[in-house]
Amino acid sequence: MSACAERAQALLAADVEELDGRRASDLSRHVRECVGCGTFARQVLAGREALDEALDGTVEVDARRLVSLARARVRKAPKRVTQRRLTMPAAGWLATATGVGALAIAVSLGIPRGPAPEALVPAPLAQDAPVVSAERDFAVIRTDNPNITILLVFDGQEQPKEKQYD
Amino acid sequence: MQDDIGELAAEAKRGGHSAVEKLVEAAAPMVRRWALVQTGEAAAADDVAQEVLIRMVVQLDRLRKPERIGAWLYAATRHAAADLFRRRRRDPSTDAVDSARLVSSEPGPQEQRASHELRVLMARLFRTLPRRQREVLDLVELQGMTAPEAGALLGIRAGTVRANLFKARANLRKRLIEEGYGEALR
Repeated sequence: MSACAERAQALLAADVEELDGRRASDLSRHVRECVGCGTFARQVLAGREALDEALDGTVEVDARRLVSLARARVRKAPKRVTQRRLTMPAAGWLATATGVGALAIAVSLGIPRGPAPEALVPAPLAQDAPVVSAERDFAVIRTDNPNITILLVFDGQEQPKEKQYD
Repeated sequence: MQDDIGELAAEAKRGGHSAVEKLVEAAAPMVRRWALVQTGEAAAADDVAQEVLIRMVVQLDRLRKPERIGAWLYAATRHAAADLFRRRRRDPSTDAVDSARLVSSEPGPQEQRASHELRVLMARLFRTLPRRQREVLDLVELQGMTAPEAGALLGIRAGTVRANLFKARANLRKRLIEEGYGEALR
């Protein structure tokens, strides 16, 4: 294998500075001294320049028409409405609806409609505290209402059962 | 170049019809080149570039970081090229994105330097490379970006850029040797 064939791999990957012999490296020196490798290096550099030119070109663009076309596309496009996906579970919606309903009722009840009624003051329940002795199995409790008397009937040692008689 | 585009994009976003037109004019050559790297065909590249530039104007108001529009444009170019090839696969008669072509390219005066045959050959060999290798070769080898800069644009690590650059150079030069160049290396 010749020295040039040995350097082929290095030449395949070499960068521009090595190919044109500017770098202080063994490969650069070889490119400068070897006619065959120097020729290939120059061909690669010429190919690089040709490729650059092939990719480049004088680009003509009608900017005014292009911008008008873009603006027309914007006008024609349907308006994008942001739609937030509602992901709350059904139970959440039910709770929310219930809460809103309760709030509505509370608000409607809380709205004053004419003069407030007089506060109801309960009368004392009993005039006399019942006196219960071991010998008796019932107690009588009188109330403010003469039509109502509470009779407590005892059933042995059990808790008293409450009965009311008009 | 990308910094200039970023400043223009920020200015265009702030408002001003003429600023938008300036942005289009400044971005067109860059986008068209990237489109050619993606498609490998001049007519397809013109169509892709036009589509990308229209999308840029349409979405300009929604860009959160207009100063980084270069990366946005690169990604949009890749997507538009992929869309074009998808459409072609579905319907081979589909060619142009828009019949009224607003972006077109002519060989520039600098193209007189290299021989026509060599340009055609290199363009053909370039098309045979995988897409990633084409992108890296163009950005780093031809446009002079650093590996981290190209990596940021492509969304890959600098090490991956270097690895792809190594493969791209080797593949392209091997094909050049197959075409009869590099007598001493065969």
